[in-house]
Amino acid sequence: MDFILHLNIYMFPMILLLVIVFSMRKNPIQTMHTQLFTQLLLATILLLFTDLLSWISNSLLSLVINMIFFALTPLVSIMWLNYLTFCFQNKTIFKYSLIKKGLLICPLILYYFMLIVTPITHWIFQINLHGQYERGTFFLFPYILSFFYMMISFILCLLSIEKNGLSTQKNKALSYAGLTLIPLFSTLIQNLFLGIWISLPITAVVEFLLYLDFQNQQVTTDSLTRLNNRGCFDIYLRDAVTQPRFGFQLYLFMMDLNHFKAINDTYGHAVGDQALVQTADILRKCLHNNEGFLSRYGGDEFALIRFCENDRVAQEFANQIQRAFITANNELNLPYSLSISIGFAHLHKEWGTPVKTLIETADVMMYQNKKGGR
Amino acid sequence: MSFETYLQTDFIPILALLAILLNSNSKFASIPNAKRFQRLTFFIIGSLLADAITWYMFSRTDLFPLTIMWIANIAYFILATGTSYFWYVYVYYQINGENLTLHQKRNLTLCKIPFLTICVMVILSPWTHALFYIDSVTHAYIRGGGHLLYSLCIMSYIISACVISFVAKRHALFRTEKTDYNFLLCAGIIPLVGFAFQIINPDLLYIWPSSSVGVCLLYINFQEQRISIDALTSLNNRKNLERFLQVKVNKDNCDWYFIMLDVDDFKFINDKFGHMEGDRALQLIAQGLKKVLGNSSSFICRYGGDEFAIIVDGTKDYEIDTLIQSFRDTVWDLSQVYETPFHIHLSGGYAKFVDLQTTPPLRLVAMADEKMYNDKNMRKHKHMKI
Repeated sequence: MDFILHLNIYMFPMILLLVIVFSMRKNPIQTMHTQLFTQLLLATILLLFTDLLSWISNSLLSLVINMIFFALTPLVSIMWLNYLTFCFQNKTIFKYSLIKKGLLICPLILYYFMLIVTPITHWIFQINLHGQYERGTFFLFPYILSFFYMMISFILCLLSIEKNGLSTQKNKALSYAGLTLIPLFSTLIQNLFLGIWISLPITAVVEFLLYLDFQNQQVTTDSLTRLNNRGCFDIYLRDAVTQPRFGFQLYLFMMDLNHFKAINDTYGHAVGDQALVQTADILRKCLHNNEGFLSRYGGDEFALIRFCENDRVAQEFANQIQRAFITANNELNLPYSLSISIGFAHLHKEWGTPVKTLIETADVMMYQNKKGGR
Repeated sequence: MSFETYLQTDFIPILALLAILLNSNSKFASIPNAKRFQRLTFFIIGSLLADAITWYMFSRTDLFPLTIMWIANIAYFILATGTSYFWYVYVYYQINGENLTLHQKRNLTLCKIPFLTICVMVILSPWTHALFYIDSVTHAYIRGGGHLLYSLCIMSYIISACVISFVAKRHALFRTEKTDYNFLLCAGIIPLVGFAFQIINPDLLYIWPSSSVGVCLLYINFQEQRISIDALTSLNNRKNLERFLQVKVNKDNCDWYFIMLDVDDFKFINDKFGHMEGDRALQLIAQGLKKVLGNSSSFICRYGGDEFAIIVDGTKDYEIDTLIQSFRDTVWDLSQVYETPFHIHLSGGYAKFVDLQTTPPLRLVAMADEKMYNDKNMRKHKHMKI
């Protein structure tokens, strides 16, 4: 009966994760990011599957299946940690310093040793004569280990909120921190109330959420410069104008790369693309410690939304960007020189400036700037 | 089967579907079919909830008055049939696009009839006992004679959705379209398999979870499309080109060319006639390219602002020269038809794929690019002479 029950509950999460894996494998370009995520998904599917099979009573089969199940339990959590580390710090946990790595891996090695000798010592679990599972002395160890890794993932997300200047990254870190807590709570609930088997299915749903977020990022970022794209800009601006901040005004900066056409025509598209990427990087650096929403508006146009106190502060910020380009030109030593024209406009609350006018005003100012600059 | 099982079986899919609903909110604005998808999601969440609630009522028959049980069951039947109907409608629009012909619109209206019939039958069930009835003494749920009709109705909607996706896949000209229709087909087959399992073994409650997986798959496909398609021209975008090239250079054995097209003086059109006209010009070119390549398995993509990249199978250079000329002619014809205030001139360049060592993707693009600029300069000089 328990087997049928699990067959019913686990079917949905298992097929859902399989579907995600297939749709990810369909993409011929596999990055580190997609690989780590696929591994996490596959491990979870296997965990669900072994948990399901462990409800069939058969002593030899139960032993093997429970061994796999307990081997996977902390592994899924450490893969989760690994994936989040890659999302926020762009490196895997294997690139950590030796001490950190040791702290993470040592308990796992100890645990695996205990698991291997479990058939003899019955430390983690034992299979009784009826082929049924019974808890061992240290049955909590795998769960504590998982808990430990999930807590580290949670702390990692919280730290990333502090570190990141960009508001989109901050939001992402915050939501990932929340998502990490959900499997923890569901495990707790499963242990408190008998007959509720939601821990693994909910973990699967959370992984589905991670996948949706991964897709969202692709929908909202420009693939070349990795900035937000035009569609995302439109939505952000639409939301931002309705949420005024006390003492601040919403400023829109429109920026256009000077002589982009000339760079493209002289050196070809590959170099033109490179120039755009460099521009995006410089702009991103300018924003690093400040809040703001940066996006690629069109071919060689960039748009920035930022809250400033007044025109003087906004002008100062524009000058800061111009200075950053001069510094970057000296450092990069390119055959062409990068420079941009900036125009900005702010939202008049009392007039209720429509968004379209805001963009047009900033655009006009940018063109004036361009004429003057050239 | 205990109530806890039903609750848990329905609860997890509801969570996943709610996640989709939240995620889709506010990000959908520009896509017409999004509303229909959201309606489908609402209906399936409703069905799952009604399913759990009705089972709860039957495990506690003493708690609920008869009227409430009738209402809950009626709601369940309507939501369930509605789910399959909206599934079909969503897939229909996804395949045929927003602008349906009069004939197609009539077909779709006819498809509403089974859904409405079932609705009427369900609502009349307390009197006619057609689909089901609830025994007034024991509070037991008993199937009526028309129950088979209801199952058939649901099945036929899902099967029809599968059939039209399959037919569309057979007729699809471009490879990316084929994978899209494959997705739609798979999304329909999963619930059907779940249905079959539940018929074979009534202990397996697979209908709703498998339908939910189907809806999740539809959503994943929906998002994938937004990732890989340029919103303005509905051509492939650059990301999809990279994916396509990756497969093409590794797998394909026949000869093929990479073509790059660029609009001459696009900045001029934009500056003189405004961005709206500029956008229209790009749409017009996209239409022209599709028209010319309609019968081949080629790949068309909007590469950047005013650049288009095309991959075609072919062996001889002169074939490609003719092809580019026919692009120019068709776009010219279209601009005459639509009476655009500007003229569109295309410059083109191409490069032949030899093998991965001599012509890696990036080199291929650079070669086509160079040739295109030569073409452009040559034409400019010609203009000056005239």
